Amino acid sequence: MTHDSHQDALLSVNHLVTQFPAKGKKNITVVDDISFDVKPGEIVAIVGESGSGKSITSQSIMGLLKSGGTIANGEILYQGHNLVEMSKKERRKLRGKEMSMIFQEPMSSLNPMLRVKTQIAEALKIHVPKQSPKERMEKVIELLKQVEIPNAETVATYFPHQLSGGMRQRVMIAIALAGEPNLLIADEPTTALDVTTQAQILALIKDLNSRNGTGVIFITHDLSVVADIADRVLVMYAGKIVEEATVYDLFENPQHPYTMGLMKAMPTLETQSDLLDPIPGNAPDIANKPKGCPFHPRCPLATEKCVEKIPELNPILNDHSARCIYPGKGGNNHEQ
Amino acid sequence: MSNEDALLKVTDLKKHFPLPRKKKKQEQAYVKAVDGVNFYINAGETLGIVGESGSGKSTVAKLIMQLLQPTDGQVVFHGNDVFTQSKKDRKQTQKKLQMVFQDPYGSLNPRMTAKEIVTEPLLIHEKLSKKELELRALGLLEEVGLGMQHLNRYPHQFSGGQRQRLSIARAIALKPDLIVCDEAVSALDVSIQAQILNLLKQLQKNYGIAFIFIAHGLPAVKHISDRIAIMYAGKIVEIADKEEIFKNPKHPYTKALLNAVPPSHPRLRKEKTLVQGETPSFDITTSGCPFYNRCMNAKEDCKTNAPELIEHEKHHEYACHYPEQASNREN
Repeated sequence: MTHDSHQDALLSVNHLVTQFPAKGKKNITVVDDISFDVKPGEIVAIVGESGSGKSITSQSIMGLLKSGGTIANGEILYQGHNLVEMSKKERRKLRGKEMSMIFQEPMSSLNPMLRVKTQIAEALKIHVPKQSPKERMEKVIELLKQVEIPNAETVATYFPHQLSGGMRQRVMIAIALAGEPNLLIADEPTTALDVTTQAQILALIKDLNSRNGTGVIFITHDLSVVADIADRVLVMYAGKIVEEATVYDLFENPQHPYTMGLMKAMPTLETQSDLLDPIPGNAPDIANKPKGCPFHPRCPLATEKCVEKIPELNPILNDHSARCIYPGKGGNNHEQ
Repeated sequence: MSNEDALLKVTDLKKHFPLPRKKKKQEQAYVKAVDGVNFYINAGETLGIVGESGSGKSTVAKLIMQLLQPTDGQVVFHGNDVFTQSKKDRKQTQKKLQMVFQDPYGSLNPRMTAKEIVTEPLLIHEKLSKKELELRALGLLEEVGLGMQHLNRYPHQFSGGQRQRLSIARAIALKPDLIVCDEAVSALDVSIQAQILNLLKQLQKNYGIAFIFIAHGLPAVKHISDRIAIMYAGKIVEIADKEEIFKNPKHPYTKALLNAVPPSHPRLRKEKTLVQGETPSFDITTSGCPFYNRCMNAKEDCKTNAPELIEHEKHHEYACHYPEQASNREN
């Protein structure tokens, strides 16, 4: 326990820094000093474009970093216990039981050689070892019904290739729920799905959240999905949180020019104008970030001050903060 | 179809892929990927084709580009049927009909420089000196927002958005009349997607290029299209002017699709009446409406009697026996 304010949080990430080794060079900092809380029963969305560090944040929390990635600094408190200091064995005990993860591509996360029921039973075996096989099968069917799979008894005997993308994602969610976790991390779970299927899966996650009180970290690049599902939002850019707010505040009153830029660049069904307002340029190379505020080369408001140093994540109003020295100032992109 | 002097006219286009037979004497079964599609596109306009995976929209694109041979039907471009035209006409067609793919990395040769990529069509179709080629290459790159410094770079040295700009430069090299964009912005980040959408609009304004814009993301399609066709299970179920289709969707599937689009603001969150189930697999052939088993308006005759795509109102065609009543898109 370090911060009193985090006592009611389910998960509390403090000053997390995640780095990856680079050949013959300094380590690359992909997640750069981020802090946030997830309260029980809350849906926190992390939104950002490719390379913003949003997926690495979730992998750091789950302890699933690959390619030599290490947590260089900071702590991740789950119900007050620091995950960073835990042994591999201790972390494995938490994974699935306390926190679970679902991924973008359900086909590559499922074993193509095993029937659906075997894969769900496998997860149950680990978390509830004292079940009889019959009880376990009943639980498998119950889980499939919980994720609203029709004809659960039949589908349980299928192999993953016999299922559609949406059904596979439901099976993944059923596996994630097997240990009855308190925290579910969903990394772009609907990005590969069709829009009608996406709507079904989002409704399912919302429903599980309100029924079981599961805390959710929802990672996405799609602001409209955020508008649909989140309670609170973190906007990430180049490894840093650039804005944090409740979902209503963020959409009503965005403060960081990047957030505003994203909102203007996103075509919506309500957009009337002929041309969109894109953010000029490209996201920075994470190994080669610009000096000062990483957004300044693309920012319409940037001045010399922005090149000097990275601004702090400053509070704007209660629960709303932005990492910008000119928060809330229009952000009109005139050039293309 | 109503339009006689359209730039491109697709008539009763079909593509059936044979399925492997399990037994020797078994009857041949087919996947009806495209099953009787009709539409036209006028010079300088954008037709959006929206559909979920497996609806056959990419197969339509491949047929138009003659990357596949159709089972039946015609694609008439500039008055010539692209499948039966003479060799000479074919060369002309290939010049005026270009394509941009979803994955710019997979569609650019990794061993060619940007200059080589954009000038390859010119080498084939036009006789130009080395110097002229260089100038044209530079002009094309500038047209899409790239510059001199990019001429000798290889695809891996570009970002995703820049690679897509390069594919567009290649597609416009021969001043085409029609470009087929198959999910051209789907793999890009939001901020980059807007840049590419604007670029396409700008090119259309400058050169009067027509686009067939295939995508599954409705907001992007709405933004860029003049007219929109909705595909389901190998058929067009509804086609109309963009405003009309969003204000007054008639086919229950169109309605379901619009309903499933996530809101642009949390204020617009709503209790959705979600369509259940998923796109049917194609080996099950029905004589009725393909949407029958998911449809809320379905009645007994929908099961056996497939509705035809008919122009019920001016410029608004749909294939449904029991269409949605007037505008009731709740917001």
